[in-house]
Amino acid sequence: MRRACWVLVLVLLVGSLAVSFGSIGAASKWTGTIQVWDFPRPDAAAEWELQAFKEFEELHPGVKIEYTKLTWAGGNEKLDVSVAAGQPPDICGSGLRLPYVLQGALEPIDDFLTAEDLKDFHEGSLNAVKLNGKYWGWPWYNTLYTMYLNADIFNEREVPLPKNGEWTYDEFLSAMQKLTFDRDGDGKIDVYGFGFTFQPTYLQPFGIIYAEGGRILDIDKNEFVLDSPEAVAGIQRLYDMVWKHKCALPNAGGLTTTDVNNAFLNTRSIAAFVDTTGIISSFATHNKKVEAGEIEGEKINLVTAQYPKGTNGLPIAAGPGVGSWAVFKQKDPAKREVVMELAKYITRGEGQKEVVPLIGVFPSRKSAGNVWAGDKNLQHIVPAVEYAVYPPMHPNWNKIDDKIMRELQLAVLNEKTIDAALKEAKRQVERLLNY
Amino acid sequence: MVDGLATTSSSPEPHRKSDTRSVLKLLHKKRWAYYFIAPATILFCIFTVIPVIRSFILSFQEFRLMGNVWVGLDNFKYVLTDPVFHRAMRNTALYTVVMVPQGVLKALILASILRNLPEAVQTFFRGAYYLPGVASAVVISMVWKWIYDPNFGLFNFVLGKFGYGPYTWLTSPKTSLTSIMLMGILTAPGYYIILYLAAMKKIPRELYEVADIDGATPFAKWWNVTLPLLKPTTLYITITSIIGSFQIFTSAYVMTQGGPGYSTMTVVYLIYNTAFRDFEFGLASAQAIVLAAIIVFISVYNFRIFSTDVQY
Repeated sequence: MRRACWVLVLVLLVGSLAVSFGSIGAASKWTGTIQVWDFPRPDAAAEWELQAFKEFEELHPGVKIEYTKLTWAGGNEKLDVSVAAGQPPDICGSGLRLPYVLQGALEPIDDFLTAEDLKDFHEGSLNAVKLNGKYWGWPWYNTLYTMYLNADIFNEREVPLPKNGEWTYDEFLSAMQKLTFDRDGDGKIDVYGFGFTFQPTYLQPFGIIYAEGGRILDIDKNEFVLDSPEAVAGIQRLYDMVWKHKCALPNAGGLTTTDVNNAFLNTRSIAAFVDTTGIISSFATHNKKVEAGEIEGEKINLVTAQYPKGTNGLPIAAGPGVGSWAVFKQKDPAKREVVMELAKYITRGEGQKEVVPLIGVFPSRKSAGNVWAGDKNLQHIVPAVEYAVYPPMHPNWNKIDDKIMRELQLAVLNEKTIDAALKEAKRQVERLLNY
Repeated sequence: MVDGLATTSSSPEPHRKSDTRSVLKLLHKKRWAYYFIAPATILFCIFTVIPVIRSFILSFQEFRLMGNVWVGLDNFKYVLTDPVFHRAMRNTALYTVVMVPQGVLKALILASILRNLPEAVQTFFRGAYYLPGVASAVVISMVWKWIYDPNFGLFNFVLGKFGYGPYTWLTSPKTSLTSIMLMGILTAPGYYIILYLAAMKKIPRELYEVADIDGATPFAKWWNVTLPLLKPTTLYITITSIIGSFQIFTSAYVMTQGGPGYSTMTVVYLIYNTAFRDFEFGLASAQAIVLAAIIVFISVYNFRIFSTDVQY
């Protein structure tokens, strides 16, 4: 019996040694250079990236990382040309683009996603990188929209700010109505509660449409569903804010996002609007410049809030997309494994905890925890991250988005009924659904 | 003797040889002229001729990052049946129909008025009219966007003082295209004014003296002498402004992004979206070829109509 125990211990020891040697062998069986491209990040985040690459090199002797910083101006073209020329980088930050998936330029990451990873990533983050049943990028961060409120106008009208940034639609509507007023008594409205627009590629008002379960496409069924009763109810709310309650900036369908931002920051003619969380820093910069006397104007007293909740009481979040790392086609399976490891290393939860606040966004992994705890503006948004809805991952999304937005413009301008606009949008979108 | 026979031979070979020789001789003789035009010609070929040919070929292909696919006339079929292209073409054509005649007429009238002013005053106005043309079209469009702002714009402010408005200008599909046209109408065509002034100076003074002897009124002189002799300039201005109007892009892009709806969608803005937003370079090339064909057709037609008695 004693002998048998010793044999078992020996077998276990030898076995564990073999496993550990095996794993070391797997990690270091490929050596060489990995070409990494990424778009510009804020300085501190860029430094974090370089440090992460260095750490990865140390963990993988013989592996060298060559980093290229793209520009926002010409980065996309450089990436396109490199792919077209068959010389793409091995991995690229924000490099997941639908044409690359369709044209076979990217590696699916499914085989490298563990059950733990699948549990750890927010569902919305994973769905944002999913096409044809496969995942095509390692989600790194979630970019979300938030409601920006001008606290001074709220105070001026004695309207309470939403507690913890949360409100129901009725509370939101009531606040916006009270915030719409004629300041100078000339009989004309000087300040409107809310400002929004339907502009292609900008999905800011869609949080209100998503609140009751409305969606644009059912990606699994490849169907247009913006005409569902839930979505129509959301569109109707936006329409009513302009035409019935008259508490949203008029001509919403003809405005651009710049017009709305301008109305909030410069002319102060709206009390609330929606934009990405990333622009918080630009408001801080505005305040600093005003303080330093570099620009004329007043400081803005900013508060953020979630979109108004739907009747199910769940928080709502919408975003323009998920930042991810895409791995380009690899001929050598051993190299592919190392490149995937690198992507996984950059996007690990511990790393996100450090870098995501530097970019002003939200983690894609639950294990990163609440990186905005204690932040007066962004902590309200954190509970909504799990419910975030991103643009549908459809190869013709740009065109679909354009068709829908132009019809919604006409609907909120009262040039067409919502029903007629959605019918026309559906007709046009259905031509684009099959690719 | 042999040489003489060779030169008088009726066989084609020696002829070809002598032709080649004379061409080479001519090339050699004028070689410095060719050396001087070579850089411009090479650059023109690299940056214009080759891309145009490439674009023409691309219009029969579907652009793919890993290699284009030949699709024959599919892109053209799509373009010609696409309701958005039809709308964009309608908007562009309407813009051209309004903008070209008023632009030509405005330039002609302003140049005719300026011509009779003292030289110093003429110089001032030439500069004043031409200067806005030097400014970036983007900047001008942004200024006009502010002028049209429904809540804080100059137009609504001024009209409000007289009890009118507020008007929606760019934010309503009923008025957006008209507002963009109004911007062009209220802008002086400085470049064309200068062209007309230059052309008016070249008209021989004797013709006006003869008209004076005949007792012609100033309007009669303008109508019977100035106007007919400005025909080549009018033809040039008409054709270049038709081409310019068909290529309208900046104001639609900066001021309305083609909206609301498709009310200010223009062909070039649609081409831009197709190429740089949707990455459908084949389809965008087909749209560009169709636009180019329309412009060429209209230009040739204009030449036929206007150039019957134009001497160059």
